[in-house]
Amino acid sequence: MEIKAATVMEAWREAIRLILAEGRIFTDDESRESCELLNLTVTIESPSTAVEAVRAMRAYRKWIYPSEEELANIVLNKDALPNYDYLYGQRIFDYDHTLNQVDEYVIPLLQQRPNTRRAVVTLLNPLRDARIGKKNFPSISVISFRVIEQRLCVTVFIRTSGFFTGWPANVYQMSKLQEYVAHALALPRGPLTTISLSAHLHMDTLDDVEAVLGKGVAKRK
Amino acid sequence: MHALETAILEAFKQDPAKRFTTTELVHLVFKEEYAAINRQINAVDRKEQRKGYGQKAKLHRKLLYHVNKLVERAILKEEGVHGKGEKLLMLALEEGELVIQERKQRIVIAKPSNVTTQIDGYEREGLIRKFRPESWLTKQNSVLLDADAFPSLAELQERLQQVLPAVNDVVAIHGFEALIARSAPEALESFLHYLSLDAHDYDVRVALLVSLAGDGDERVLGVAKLLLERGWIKQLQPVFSITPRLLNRKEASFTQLLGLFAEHRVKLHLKNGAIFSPPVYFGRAGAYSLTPDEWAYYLEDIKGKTDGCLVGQIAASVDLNRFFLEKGTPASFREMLLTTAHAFFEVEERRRRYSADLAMIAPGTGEGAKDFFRAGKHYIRLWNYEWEADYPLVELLGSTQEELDKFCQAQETIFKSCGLPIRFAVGLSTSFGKFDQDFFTERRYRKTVVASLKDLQTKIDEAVKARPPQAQLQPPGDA
Repeated sequence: MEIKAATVMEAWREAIRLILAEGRIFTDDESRESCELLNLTVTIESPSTAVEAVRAMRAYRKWIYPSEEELANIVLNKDALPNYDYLYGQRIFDYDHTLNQVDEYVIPLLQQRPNTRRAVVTLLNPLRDARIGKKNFPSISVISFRVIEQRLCVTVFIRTSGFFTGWPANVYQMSKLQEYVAHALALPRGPLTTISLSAHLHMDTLDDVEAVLGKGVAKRK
Repeated sequence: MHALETAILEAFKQDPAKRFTTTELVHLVFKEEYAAINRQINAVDRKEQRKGYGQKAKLHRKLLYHVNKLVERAILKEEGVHGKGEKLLMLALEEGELVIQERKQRIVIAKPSNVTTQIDGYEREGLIRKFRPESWLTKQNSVLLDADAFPSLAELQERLQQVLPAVNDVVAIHGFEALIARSAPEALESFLHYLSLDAHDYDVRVALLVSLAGDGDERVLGVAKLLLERGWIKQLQPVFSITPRLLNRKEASFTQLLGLFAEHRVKLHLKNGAIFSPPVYFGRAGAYSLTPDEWAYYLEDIKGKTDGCLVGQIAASVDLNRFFLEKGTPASFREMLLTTAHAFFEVEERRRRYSADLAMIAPGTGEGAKDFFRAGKHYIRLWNYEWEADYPLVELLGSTQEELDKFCQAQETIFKSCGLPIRFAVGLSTSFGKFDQDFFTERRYRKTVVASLKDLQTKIDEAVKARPPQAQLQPPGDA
């Protein structure tokens, strides 16, 4: 399934409608009833709008949603801070304390070979993550950077994506990373695409979905 | 800049929001000299004592000379007097970063802004009191170090040097009996002496958690005697873990122990290991513990990978007596505690920005450091509650804790889904009157005094029986 939209808010609403319309109901590992759509691709033409979804979530006062600053910091900061179980930023910029995948690989590679399909950042680390019983497992797995028509396009492969709470944050984080690489390459940003293996919604949050995104969005056919 | 001025500023760097008395600064700046002078002051020989007092006054004058220079340069300011005319000093900077650059020397002191939270209104109404809010962004309430992780006293001492400045209430050393058993008496005495000085300087307590299950009663009693006779007990508080069976088997040792504490009129902390296996200990704010599940998790998944764990992060206390006297209802109580949990979460978000400071408490920076933080929680402490109150206290606390757990879990899930795998937990526990004597209403609950082994067997038993068994307040060792 594929969705293309101009802004994050349009893409978000459309994805939620599609998950509820086409998805299957199942009970997840934490015993929560969910509606899941497999292999959902969502493309946002204008990634600079990503912040709007984060602001919509922060305006909803039922919970505390992460701030823009913290979300950006988590993906751009390479330091391993002990109060997070894992950090995307550390895996991107200091993978296994060995490799800065962006500054030492992706950026110089795209500068030398703009048509390459090898500008890929990996966030999974099987040596650390592939353990039965491990509580936390990263969702963002692979990020691909391509220069197409003189614009930096990004495709993100997400293992599992909670489309109400998690996806807006992930899109915002990836838009910040895209901005960082685009700036280094002196290129404008192109579309941002997420491919979610499991695009899902928890059924107990449907009222909250409507409170944030408007009536009618969370109606299951 | 003079070396003493650098040393004075180092003290402020450790705790930028604190108001220091000149005595505290003398302690921190002239650590070694002060320890030697203290030995003179405590000597039996009166001539030595006089010499000690003279030296002490000299140190104060020396310090004040350099303090005045820093005040003249508007780096420090006087903030009133303490006790008998002693100066209170603090950084002149209100908030932000102070950079002092002189030749090759550069000192940077960051002073965080005051924390404004959703519970400030409750605090103004006198219903909630924050515990040491000036260090909410930079310090932890309490950590537990595991004696098993330290092959020698020297290694433990080194680790404590790292931990004490980063804590604002209490550091516990679990399994201290093992260190007692394997250390030479002189080394142990010296360790305890310097630990008491450091704990005093940093204004924190150290809880020595001692199990009496082994064979070393005589040496344990020797340490207890040392703590009491030297006055180190103010900073170093032992908590003895016992069971009814042990009490019977080691009657003579317990009689001696009770006698020692009764003779010095000092509170003796005993934990009944038969009904509660996790460690329990006490700071100024109140009791600290892990739940049985958290302790099992520590033993199975954390112990061995790191040298202890974070136990308490930040705390606020609720005066239940005042709350219900002022027509508080169970619903408004629940609402107030949930608002407090909200406030804790928002503060935690800001604390993560200071995480380089907070991380200092962990050993190293690897996976072990992450393990060290896994059991920490924030505390909402309760003061002046009675089990026979005219409101359904036990049910209220149970259901409120359930709601707090739900909130914490929801926040963890949301953050995890956003790629921020954090841990957030809020626990209920008891508060101590010493937390803030001016703020709290007068104690209403019945206090039981135990002065002998017979008292211990009867009165505590009665007190425990009087408590509803379903009471979920953690930890239960608050008799």
